[in-house]
Amino acid sequence: MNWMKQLFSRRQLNEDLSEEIREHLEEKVEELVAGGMSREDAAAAARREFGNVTRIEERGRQVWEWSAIDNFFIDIRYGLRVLRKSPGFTAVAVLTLALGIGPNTAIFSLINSVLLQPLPFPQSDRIVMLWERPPEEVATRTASLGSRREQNPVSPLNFLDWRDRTSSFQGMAAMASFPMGLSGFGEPREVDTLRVSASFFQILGVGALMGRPFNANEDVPNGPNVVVLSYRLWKGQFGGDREVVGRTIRLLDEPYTIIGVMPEKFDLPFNHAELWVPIHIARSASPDEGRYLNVIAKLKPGVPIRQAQAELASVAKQISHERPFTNRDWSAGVVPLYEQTTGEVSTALLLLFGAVTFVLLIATGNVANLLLMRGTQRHHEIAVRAALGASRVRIASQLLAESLLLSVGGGLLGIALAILGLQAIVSSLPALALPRVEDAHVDARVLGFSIALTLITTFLFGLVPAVSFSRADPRDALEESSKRTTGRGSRRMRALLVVAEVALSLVLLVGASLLARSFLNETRVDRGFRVDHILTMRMFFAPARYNNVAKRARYVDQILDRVRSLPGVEAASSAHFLPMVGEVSGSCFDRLDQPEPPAGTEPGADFLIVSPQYFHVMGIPFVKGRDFNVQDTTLTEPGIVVNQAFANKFFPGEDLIGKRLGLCWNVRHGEIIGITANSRQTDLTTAPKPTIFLDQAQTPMYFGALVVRTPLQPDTIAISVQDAIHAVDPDQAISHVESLEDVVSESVARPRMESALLLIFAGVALMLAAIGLYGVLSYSVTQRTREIGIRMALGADSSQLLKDVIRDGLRLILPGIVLGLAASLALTRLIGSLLFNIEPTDPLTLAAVSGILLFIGLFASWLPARRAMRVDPMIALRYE
Amino acid sequence: MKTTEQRDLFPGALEMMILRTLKRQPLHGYALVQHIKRTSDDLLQIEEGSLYPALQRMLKEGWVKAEWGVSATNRRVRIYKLTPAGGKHLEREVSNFERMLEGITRVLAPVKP
Repeated sequence: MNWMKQLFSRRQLNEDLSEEIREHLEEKVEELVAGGMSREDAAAAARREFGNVTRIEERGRQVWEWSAIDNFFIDIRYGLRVLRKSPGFTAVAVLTLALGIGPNTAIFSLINSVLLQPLPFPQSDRIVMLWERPPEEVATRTASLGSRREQNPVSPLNFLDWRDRTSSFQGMAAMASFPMGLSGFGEPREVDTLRVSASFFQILGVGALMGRPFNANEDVPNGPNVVVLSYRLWKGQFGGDREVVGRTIRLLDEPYTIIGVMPEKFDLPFNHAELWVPIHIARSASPDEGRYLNVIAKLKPGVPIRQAQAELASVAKQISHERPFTNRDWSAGVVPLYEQTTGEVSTALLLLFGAVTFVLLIATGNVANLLLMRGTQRHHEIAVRAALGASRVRIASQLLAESLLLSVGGGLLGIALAILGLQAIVSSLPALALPRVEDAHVDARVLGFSIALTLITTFLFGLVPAVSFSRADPRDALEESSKRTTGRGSRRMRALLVVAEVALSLVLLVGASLLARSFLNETRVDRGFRVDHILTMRMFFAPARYNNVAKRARYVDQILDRVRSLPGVEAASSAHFLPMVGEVSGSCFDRLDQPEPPAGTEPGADFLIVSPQYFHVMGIPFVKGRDFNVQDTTLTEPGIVVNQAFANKFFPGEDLIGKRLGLCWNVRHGEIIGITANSRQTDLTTAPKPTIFLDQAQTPMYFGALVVRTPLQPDTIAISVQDAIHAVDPDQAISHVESLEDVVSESVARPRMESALLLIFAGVALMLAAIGLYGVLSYSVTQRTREIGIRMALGADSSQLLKDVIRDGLRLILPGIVLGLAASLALTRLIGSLLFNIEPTDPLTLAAVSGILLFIGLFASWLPARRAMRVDPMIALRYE
Repeated sequence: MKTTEQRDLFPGALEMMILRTLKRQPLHGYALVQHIKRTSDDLLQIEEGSLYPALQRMLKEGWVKAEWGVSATNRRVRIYKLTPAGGKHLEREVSNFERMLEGITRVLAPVKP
């Protein structure tokens, strides 16, 4: 359009107009003078005939104006000039806004990636996970995914019955995570493998990038050894070789044919498998094989989840009657995949989002306060503009333009902060601690959110001063300009803002302190085992190579013998699950010295399979009896070590040593040889459970973790331990080589990050509130310099002045604290589920936080008070 | 502030007169206003200045063009010229005006008994 051209050529047009009008008047004067009039009279007459020159020029100019846009640019230019003139104010305002907008953008990026993005599968709202639901008493569970009690993995036989007897689902697949040693490609390497039913890929609705996924002939017992690669593994291990389909690789020492490669982003949100192999589940499976399957299914179109839930529960009920031995009182549940992915973390993320909203509100309040104070100082300027004919709308829009400039500055800086912060957050979390967090980035939606936030804050903090000052009556303002009084309304508004800021920051501080103390409680909890100077690593043993009990037992013995003889190794042992990784096995047992309980009513306990010296390495003391030793073999009566919790629960007041138990395990019975102190297994927050320890040499597992104790730094012996293992079997794949300290630390990575973030946000909030308080008080001291000077000249005690200012401060702080405490009591209830060993209404926390806030508030009041005390009466009286 | 300039003219009348005048010959502002006054035998009271916003509007619409030149009295003046678009606009306006005038005349005509 030519308005652009007009914008540039307008100066010329306006000059032409002015000159033309001047010429017109002159010509008229000349003519009148020629007609005999005096030059003076002629000039007057010419002007009279012509009309108001200024007004006409203005109307002529208006023709060319693109007025809304023009005014906007004028306002912006003017705003920039005004802001440049007070760099201190501008810097504080922009920084404050950045501190408000930055955290919001960062947390919203997390929420966007973790909660808001739809799952990357077609019709993902119909994809669900199915779980067994244990009866209240028994707490037996194996795998890690469903960390909620009512989400227990599924036994193979129950899975088959669910699949065959329900009609709500259009597909149902079993999965079991199972690292496998991949060999024949350089260094043997353990790859994260998911064993899945053939229908797994159909349920997720994603086809192969190359080749094909499994078909129905491949997930049956004795099916072919086939494998589907992930994009990641294909690109990495196989260099993106296009000819890879049809080739053979070795997994756990068996040949597997590659039949397909999946596309890049194909992944479950909570399991990053590197390859998939078919799972073989047979009807002939032993009913007490255990519960270890995760089950995923897709609802038929139009079937509501409630209906599927009811049907599954009724099938589970049938099963519990048919096979009471393993299923009495067990039920089943359906959980949407989305909820499965986000359920646990959404509370924490929403809590963080609430926290950053508070920070933003406080920041907004501060900037509004700054503008209100500045507006009071600029009263004069605004009054003059109004007197010169500026309309209210023009004045308000000009003030808003300044606000907008501040917001945009704050927004840009905030987004930069957010990008940095987000990187820090994502990289501080171990894999899978927060599902899908690795995709978090500032995308279009996040940017849109930040822009909306910027605009909203502009209006929040900009509109109040804009409206209240544009109302200024020019006459009053001009008359009063020498006095510079502040309006009562704006003073009350500022006080309210500060009270609100104090209250908000108190709530935030209470929440952060509760979470931080909860986290500290977690880390300080009596774990029952030591973590220092212990190296750990995990292994799966090739079933083909170690295909019987004796071979597996001997294999682990050989490894341990070699490791124990290494220099720098004090002791070494193994366990089938490390503590603090969320994994433990559970099964049933009964006392052989008592009548056999009816089938299905046997008590349950946690089961952990360990090698001799495990308790020694882990620093778990024996209360009574002895550890396993080399005399315990597959040929002798299996030994049983139990923990104190087990003894207290099942043998209160009795001597257990020598008692015999029947076991629902590969070994059917055993004799109690020792009692150890309690230690935590699944995670730090779960109290020690009654546990049965069995000897790896007597009931060897297919997988295990080494625990190696050393007087040195654990990582210094990592290489030599792995070499020792490879000396026994060069193809053995080893994973997760890390110190036990790191294992424990990773297990609390998420609560640590949550409480750290919340503390940072609360700190920012506290700082902003203190600055707000300081600003208001110091402004009022400045305003009252004259009054203070008079009082001092009249002999007022300077300590009285100090008290006055501090009293003003307390009038803002105390109501803020009271309001904040009331709000805390109402709000902290919501985070009760995130707290460990601390009440949401913990009085100590509330008192301590109130104290901190009071102290900081008093400090913020003291600074201006001190200035008031130092006022020189002579200068003060001359002020103005 | 009230606008009094066109109190006695209907909207567009001034523009129409300017265009009509310019159709005959290009003129500068002063000459233009004198011509209109003279031709109307001073029946129309026009504030001389009000010519200029109207000229600016027509410049913007592209109905007239302006160039600096020298007048007969050797004065530096800005001479306005009718453009083809201005001519077309004038024709349209005049025919509209005539129709309107005819309507008004009929209404105002003495009622026949």
